[in-house]
Amino acid sequence: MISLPHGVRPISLAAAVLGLALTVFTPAADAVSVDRLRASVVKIYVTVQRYDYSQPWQATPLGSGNGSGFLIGKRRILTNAHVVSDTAFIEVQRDGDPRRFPAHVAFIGHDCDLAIVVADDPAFYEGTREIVFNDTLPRLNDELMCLGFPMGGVRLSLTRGVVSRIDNGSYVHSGVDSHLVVQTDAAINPGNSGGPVLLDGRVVGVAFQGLSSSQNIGYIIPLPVIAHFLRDVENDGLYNGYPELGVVSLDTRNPALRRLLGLPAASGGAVVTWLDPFGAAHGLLQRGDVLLRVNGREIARDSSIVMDGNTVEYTEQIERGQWGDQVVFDLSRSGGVQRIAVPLRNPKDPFSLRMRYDEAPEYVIAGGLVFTPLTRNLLSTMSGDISKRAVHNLFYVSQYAKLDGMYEGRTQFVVLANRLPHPVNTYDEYFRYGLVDTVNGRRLGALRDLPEALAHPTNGFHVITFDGMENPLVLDAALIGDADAQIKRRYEIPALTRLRKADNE
Amino acid sequence: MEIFVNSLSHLHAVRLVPLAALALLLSNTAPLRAANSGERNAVLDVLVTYQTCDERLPWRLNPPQNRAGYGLAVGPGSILTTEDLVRQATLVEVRRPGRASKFTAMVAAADPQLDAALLAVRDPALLPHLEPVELATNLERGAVTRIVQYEDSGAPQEGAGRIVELSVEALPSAPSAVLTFRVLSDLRVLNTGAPIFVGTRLAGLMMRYDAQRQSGFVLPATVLARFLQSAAAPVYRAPPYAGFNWIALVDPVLRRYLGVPETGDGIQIVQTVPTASAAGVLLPNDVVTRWDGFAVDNQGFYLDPDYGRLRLNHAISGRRHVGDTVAVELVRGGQPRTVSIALKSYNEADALIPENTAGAPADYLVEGGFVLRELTGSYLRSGERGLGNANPRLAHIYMTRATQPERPGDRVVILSSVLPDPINIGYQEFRDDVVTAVNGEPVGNLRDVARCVDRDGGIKRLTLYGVGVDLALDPALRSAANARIADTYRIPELRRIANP
Repeated sequence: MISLPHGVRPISLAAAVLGLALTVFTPAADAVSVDRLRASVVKIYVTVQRYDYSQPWQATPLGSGNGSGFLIGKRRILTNAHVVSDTAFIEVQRDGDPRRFPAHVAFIGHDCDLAIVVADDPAFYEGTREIVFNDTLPRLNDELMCLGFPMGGVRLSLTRGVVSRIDNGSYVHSGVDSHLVVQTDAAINPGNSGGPVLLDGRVVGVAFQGLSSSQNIGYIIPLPVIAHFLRDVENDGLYNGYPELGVVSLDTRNPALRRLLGLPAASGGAVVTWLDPFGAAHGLLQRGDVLLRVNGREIARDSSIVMDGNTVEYTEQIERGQWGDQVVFDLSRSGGVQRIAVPLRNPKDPFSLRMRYDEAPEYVIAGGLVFTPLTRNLLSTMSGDISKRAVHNLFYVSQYAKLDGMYEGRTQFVVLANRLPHPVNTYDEYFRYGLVDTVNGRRLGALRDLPEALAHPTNGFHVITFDGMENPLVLDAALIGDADAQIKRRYEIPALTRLRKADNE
Repeated sequence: MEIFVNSLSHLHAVRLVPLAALALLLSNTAPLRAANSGERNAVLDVLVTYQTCDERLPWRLNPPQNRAGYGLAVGPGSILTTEDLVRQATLVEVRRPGRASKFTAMVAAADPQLDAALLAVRDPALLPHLEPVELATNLERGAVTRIVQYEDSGAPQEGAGRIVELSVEALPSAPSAVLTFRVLSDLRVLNTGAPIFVGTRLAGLMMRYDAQRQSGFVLPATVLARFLQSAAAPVYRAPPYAGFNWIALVDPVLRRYLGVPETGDGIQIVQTVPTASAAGVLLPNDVVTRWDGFAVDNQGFYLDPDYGRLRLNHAISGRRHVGDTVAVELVRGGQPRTVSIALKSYNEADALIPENTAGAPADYLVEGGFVLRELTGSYLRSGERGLGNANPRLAHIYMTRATQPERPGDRVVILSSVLPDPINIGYQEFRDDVVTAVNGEPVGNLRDVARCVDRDGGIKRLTLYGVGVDLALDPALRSAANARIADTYRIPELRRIANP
């Protein structure tokens, strides 16, 4: 689980700030090339409607905003995933053209915050020009140019800055992912999201997020991440996402640890301390394995390898891999050296707690109690209640479920997310945000188990127990049917359940 | 629904001085007098220098800070005040309001559970003309009170207040719940310990004042009187503690499920604390209908003969003493029965995660730069946002199992942090991890850790919960490293273990 750095925010623009401030377009010395780029950069208008995770049968109020994008060939417009997520309607507009053209999302990668949008009308592309990518990462202090439509402007904006850092960093759109990022002091403001960042007229990245608590720190998705996304969608016409190795390891810099592990004095290596049960390496690597080489590259005792002349974490080898590739480890296990190939895949991890977009949340309502799976989206609705013991428990489970073995026997954690007041549940508010453990003596492995468990009341009662709570919630089973019919009418709920089929159904 | 916890005692640092004179002050025979300045002559400024412990580096004390409040003379050289005023005091001084001369006082007794403290001035002659005040023996809703505080010049400020609520509430400075009252007054009270009088008698000491609501939260004289009685005993007698959590039992469905009528008395027991009075006597899902002769209604209130409708906690800890046995009527599995509970005091040392309300310096052990200590509530709350930014796993253990050790004496031993040194290179990012074993031997508390360290000549392997590889240290480097770490990080002693 990757924690979010304080103050990092995506930079899509809310309608409320439209027109507040203009970023002045300053003709530069390379004005000719900028004029050419005008034909490549587009403004993206979106109407946003998200799911309401506390009332999951309905959507949130409509919102609108805008971002930027640029043409990369094959009529594709590259932008950020966060610009076009949860959208009901998308339009694209070229600089200087009064017309807006409806568009749709062709590919979206929430783990890398990139998306490809395609305009529905071929007329949009008349006179456009695809933009050219650079071959390599920019270097520290290289001067960058950011193009886009920040702060609601209708004309193209240009800002400049230098590369101030290249490092791994969080991608806040998903909440859990971390990849290479380029940091710049060029002004990147809401509305710049998805716009190209150029070095000498060639794209080296996509503007995507900023640090609100600092001055002039903006972040760019660099070429390796863009290339990974584009290759992924080119491979099979689907976006599979980054493979997850699922390994936590420890440096072997400590000589006493090296002796304990039986490592030769001269060797490097990273020792495996935990394996994600949903990671690609699960079942192949073991705790205590010392990873000596990855794809033939020596892993130093600080867990680094040398790639392209740079020292990077060995996990960068996995970052560069695609679904279906494999990564080969030479490792020390039980005194011997073995070679183990790990096929890179992206197993469906129900506990990754990545933010969900464009996905209707599941729910079951019984006795006015709204049960939903634990998701990052749900947690975001209750951050103001962190002082409550039950909410604290949910935050703990969200981060430690796999580490502390709580996931076993489950594919979802089920939460009592809301209570729709009705006489049948008058005394049950205390249990709100509780993590359901059992219903009528049956342990819930997923939300879809709930209706079946409710079909078997205990001596006329529904008895629901919660993790970390000593006392159960008890409902009169005979009253639930009529109560739910009334609740459905009173709260205008179209359906009392929304469940997806299990993967194996 | 709300879980109620029988008030926890956190008696700390009780130091007793002879208090025989106090008994005289607890007489209830003194008649009410018209307001005059006599009781004002009992009020003293209490000036406190205190030092909190750095929870992360527990050998270190944070810079001294100051607090000021009021105390009331209750006997020659004996001054009553609130415990949170003198908590972690390094120096306590008293003076007459408006005067310059200060006199050192010592904390004779302090009980965080009751938020009460007794100070003793070594030479009462230093405070001439001090007129000890008498304590009111009853409390009445609606009674008119006077609140007294002093300007810097020594001029008194008085404000009228009315007692608007008598209730058993959690204290503002401790998790325990005791009898308190609320007073409405437009006098903006600035300091803790401000006295509230009914007539000429002390009705209570102000613990908190909410200027927006013009409401003061007061520790009543009746609670203070019990504290003084306990303090006068040869050994301080903490209030009794039954050791069970309960919830109101209003829900008719839940009542039927538990085998009691849909309407009627009774609360539901949800958990008992091992080693506490109720352990093994009360069971989860018992419905307690009568405690010590008092009917307990379905919201957990009883009719107190002195104060009217109060929460059950007061019947447990406010009306009885340690050693008393009370009869408890309950329904278990639909069958009524009566059980007896012999009341004991709460021993914080029995908890898996003690609260350490009093802020006592934590025990610790530094070995090879590993800072090891036992988890406490005060440690978890020491961050900027309290529990909000505590390690979620540690906070989870605290919230679900703080009073529930599997074995007596068990604590949660943690690797709080690692002091960077060549001996622990590669481990310096570890922080707030639960320690399960040292040198391969399971440890249940810091004393176990110390025993392993002493037996084996240091930490060779430290096992952390959820980390698949032990952290190894080189024993050959231990001695030099410990000396270097003590010197570099200015650690006077590499361990502090109160009861090794």
